[in-house]
Amino acid sequence: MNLKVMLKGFILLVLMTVSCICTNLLFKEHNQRQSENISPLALLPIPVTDVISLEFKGLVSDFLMLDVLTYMGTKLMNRSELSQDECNMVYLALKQIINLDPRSSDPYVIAETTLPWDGGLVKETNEILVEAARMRPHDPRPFFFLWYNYFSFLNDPEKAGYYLQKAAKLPGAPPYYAALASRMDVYSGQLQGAIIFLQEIIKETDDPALKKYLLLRKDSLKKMFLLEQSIAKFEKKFGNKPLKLEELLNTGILVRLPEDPYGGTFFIRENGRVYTTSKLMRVKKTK
Amino acid sequence: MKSSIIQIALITYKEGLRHRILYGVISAALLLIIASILLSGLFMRDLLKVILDICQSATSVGGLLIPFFLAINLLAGDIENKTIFAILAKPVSRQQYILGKFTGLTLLTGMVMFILTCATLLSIYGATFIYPQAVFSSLSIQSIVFSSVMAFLGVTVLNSTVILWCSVTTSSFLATLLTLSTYMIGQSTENLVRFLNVSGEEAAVSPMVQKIVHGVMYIFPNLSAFDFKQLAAHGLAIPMQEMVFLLFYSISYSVIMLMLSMYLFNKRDLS
Amino acid sequence: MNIISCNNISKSYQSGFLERDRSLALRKVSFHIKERELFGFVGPNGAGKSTILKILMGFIRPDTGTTHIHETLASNPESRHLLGYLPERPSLYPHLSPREHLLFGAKLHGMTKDDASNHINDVLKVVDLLDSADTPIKKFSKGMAQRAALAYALLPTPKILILDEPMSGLDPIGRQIVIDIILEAHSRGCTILFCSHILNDVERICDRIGIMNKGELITTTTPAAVLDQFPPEKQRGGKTPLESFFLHTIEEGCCEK
Repeated sequence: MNLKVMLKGFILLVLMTVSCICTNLLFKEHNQRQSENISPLALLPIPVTDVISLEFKGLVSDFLMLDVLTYMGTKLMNRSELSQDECNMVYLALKQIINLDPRSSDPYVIAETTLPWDGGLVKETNEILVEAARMRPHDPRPFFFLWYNYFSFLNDPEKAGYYLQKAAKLPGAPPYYAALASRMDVYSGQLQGAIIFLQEIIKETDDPALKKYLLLRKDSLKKMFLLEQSIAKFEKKFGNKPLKLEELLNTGILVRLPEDPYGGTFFIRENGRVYTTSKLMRVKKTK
Repeated sequence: MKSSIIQIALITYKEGLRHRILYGVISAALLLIIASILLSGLFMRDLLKVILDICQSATSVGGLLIPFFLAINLLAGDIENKTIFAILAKPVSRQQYILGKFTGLTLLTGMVMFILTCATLLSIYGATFIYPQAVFSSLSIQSIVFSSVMAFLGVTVLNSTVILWCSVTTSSFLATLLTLSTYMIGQSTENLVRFLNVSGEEAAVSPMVQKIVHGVMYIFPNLSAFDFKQLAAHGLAIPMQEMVFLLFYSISYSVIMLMLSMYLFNKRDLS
Repeated sequence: MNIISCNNISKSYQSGFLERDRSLALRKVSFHIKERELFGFVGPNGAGKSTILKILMGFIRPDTGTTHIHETLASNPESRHLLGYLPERPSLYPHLSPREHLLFGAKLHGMTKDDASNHINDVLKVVDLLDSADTPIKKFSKGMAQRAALAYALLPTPKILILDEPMSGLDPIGRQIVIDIILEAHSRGCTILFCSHILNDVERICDRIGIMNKGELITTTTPAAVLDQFPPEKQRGGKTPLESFFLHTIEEGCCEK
């Protein structure tokens, strides 16, 4: 009798071990596949998701948001960038999330930090931001992001100024919003605006992978800004812009050339702006 | 007459408390509410919103347990097991029976949702020890409580339709199916009407279908109107006027359902 | 004085595909029961015995005819102040104890808890369930459950008892207990109407007997009349007088009412 019980116990133990091993292997296999995709729920037509969410729209939006964050976190951890298709998918998912819970802040922050940069989806991001601004009337950030998009990506300083003014008027807006609007000019303002914009986002980002991604970009932009300021000093001193960055070293304006954290090399373009061979700013200037 | 209704309500309430499924769902909901504190940490900014989304959804699910499982069990089960004869053999009218059952179900719903709302508030209190104060800047206890009260009214309206279905059908499966359909229609009609109004001519929907959808909105209970979870999750005030309208709506709709139930149940043979 | 009156009661049920078929459960049944009478319905299965009792209790609405309990319509809940009812299967809440159940029943009658307590103990004593008064009914045997249901019917001291197959499924001891309870209630002035297919019991205790078959009340008679019609020398194969009378009535359709 004891032998029977022991045998049954042993078989049970073996089966449990096999089950645990299989669970682990399947999870790893599945995880690899799943993290490459966003939930199909995000790709359903919006009215359909509206109906099937019943009274749990907030919860469904949270689930989708988690899915998007996991998807993006995986991409950033692997140091890969989003392709155009992947950006479009993220955009659809964020639209879905905003439709379910238009007052949520995570979706529009994610939209602003990725879609215009990696996918060139500036107009689409602006749609999301306009809705966010409407549903979050006390939050200056959607207007601030709209300012940046019109200023930097769409080259529309008039509209950019309009949105920055709206942002500045809201309670809780940082005091430098108003000053920023009056101080900026198109040329020198772009990089400085981008750096300030990134500083704002980084302040509120807890996700380590995303924070690292943004800090890297900010570092590169700061170095580019330093170089452009040095070019301005050179021009003031010698009456013309330098053709190569080495001239700044030779004239003693800079002691050492900064290194691009993306691994590229900074250079001066024909229009006198500083850029990098790593093309960190995959900025598609649209009209 | 009043005392008979109260006695039937109390026995319905006690019978409901004996069901294991009640404890199972409440336990699951409580676990989810506690887990919400940890789950919210996966998000970037909207931590309080996520906690409240999970907790309020758990409260709604707990409340919906009553019409979907217990109500049908307590009503149709009463007829199937013949325990209804124990009540109707006494000087109790069928109308009193219906009202007593409804009152008992309302007590059960209120008890479950009260427990889960208290758990929600405790969960938020627990989260204050883990997350910084800034996370709770948009917290509005009043909105959370009002949202739960409105959700309770919504479930009460659904309970009244359950009683109607149990009064007309002999099968508990059919009553469950009808209740589920009522719930889904009640949650969807407002969206559909809005979609039709916005789409207009572009949607190419026939006028007949549009009229039917509009009609359905009046016939079936508009349950989505009782959903204020998102407002509470974002700390926004729930308009008092809307709450008053909903209170009147829930009372009037429930009374209509109960009157219809009493009329139909009175005609029914209990053999 | 007639305490129960049934006049031309008919009831049919719809069945079949799209409920196009109609089956007749009762056809123009009329009878009257006097105060303090002990009346028994007998008949084969499906004769309509339980149906007539359920109509008296208001559980079923007749298609035609009227029923009165003490000059009040049977469908009026007020008529049930005087009634105690025992259904064919004990229909009690299984998680409640007999004491809880009786208290619930007493409160439905409008009694206060204090008034009810004494009554409850007396009734439980009558049905011999005082020791198990606080045990949940789901733990009872069939006989005990039947007695608990009977106790529920006896509270609070009804003028009329309507019992549907009270001895059904009980062993001889259980049946004897129930018969004793019925006779004891009758001796206190209670009018009793019950139906049964156990002819022995009906013959022993009833003042009058009604024989039903296929929805019709074929005849009413008394045990004395049965004995006159079927004296011992006319008994067939060891049957009791009522059994012989019953078979004769069913087979030959005797129509004396």
